[in-house]
Amino acid sequence: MRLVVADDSRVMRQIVIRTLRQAGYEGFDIIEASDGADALDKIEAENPELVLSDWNMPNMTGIELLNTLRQTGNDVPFGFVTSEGSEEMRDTAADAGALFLIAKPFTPESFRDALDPHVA
Amino acid sequence: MSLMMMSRTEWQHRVDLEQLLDQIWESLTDTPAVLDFSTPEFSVPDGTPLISAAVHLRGDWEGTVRILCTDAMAERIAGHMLAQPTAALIRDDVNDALGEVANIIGGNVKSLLDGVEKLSLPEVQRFPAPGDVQGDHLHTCIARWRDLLIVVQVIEAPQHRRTAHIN
Repeated sequence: MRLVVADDSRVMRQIVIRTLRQAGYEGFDIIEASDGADALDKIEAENPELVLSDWNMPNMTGIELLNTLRQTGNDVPFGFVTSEGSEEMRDTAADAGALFLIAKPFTPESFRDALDPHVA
Repeated sequence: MSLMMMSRTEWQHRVDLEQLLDQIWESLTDTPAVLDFSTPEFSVPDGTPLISAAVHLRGDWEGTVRILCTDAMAERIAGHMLAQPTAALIRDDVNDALGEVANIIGGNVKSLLDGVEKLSLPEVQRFPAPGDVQGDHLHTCIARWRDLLIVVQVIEAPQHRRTAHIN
């Protein structure tokens, strides 16, 4: 399974990848992106099966990335991993077409709860 | 939109920084939460290299969440976050790690306060002690992780410096 992990923090990308492994998701082909614009390029080039994206990033935010994808007809499964987990943010994410929002700090269990329904 | 000032009591009623820090430590450092919050003050010898990371919140409540620690503590945090020995770390990784801790605290604070609309990207600074480590803070939380300390400061923006409109 090919997966894009977008976060402007390299450290956080590594923690997301480590947590995926701890949650039992082994053998993923993971593509890292350093902001929303970089993620957009890599999603278009690599055609991943899932995107995990931070919300607050320079150049292009996560919600701008999701909106751009949907406006261009790309319906890649998309979830947020972000430090802001208010109901308002969750509603905004869901309205834009996100499958889930994982709030930081997270655990392997919170990854499993969010991803299991969408990962074969 | 009315801008809100908050008392220390009201702040502490809304935000449990100690519980939040415990959760962050367990998640990011991949170790059981072992923070000790009994240290009354942050004191290091003059000239000790310090590093701070701050995020700014804007909206009905405005202020800054800042974390502050020694270089040694920042390197330990980054090493655990990246699962690497501290000798293998580069400065950008240490800055990035501390900035991300500030971002997570700030994001959680934003979620707990009504009407905060904007969270900035983290700003990381390095300076020698004593530097700007004191001041009138809404809340100061000092956590000890083994033998080293990290300080979390919540600084409310003065009324006259607030922005009523969010860009």
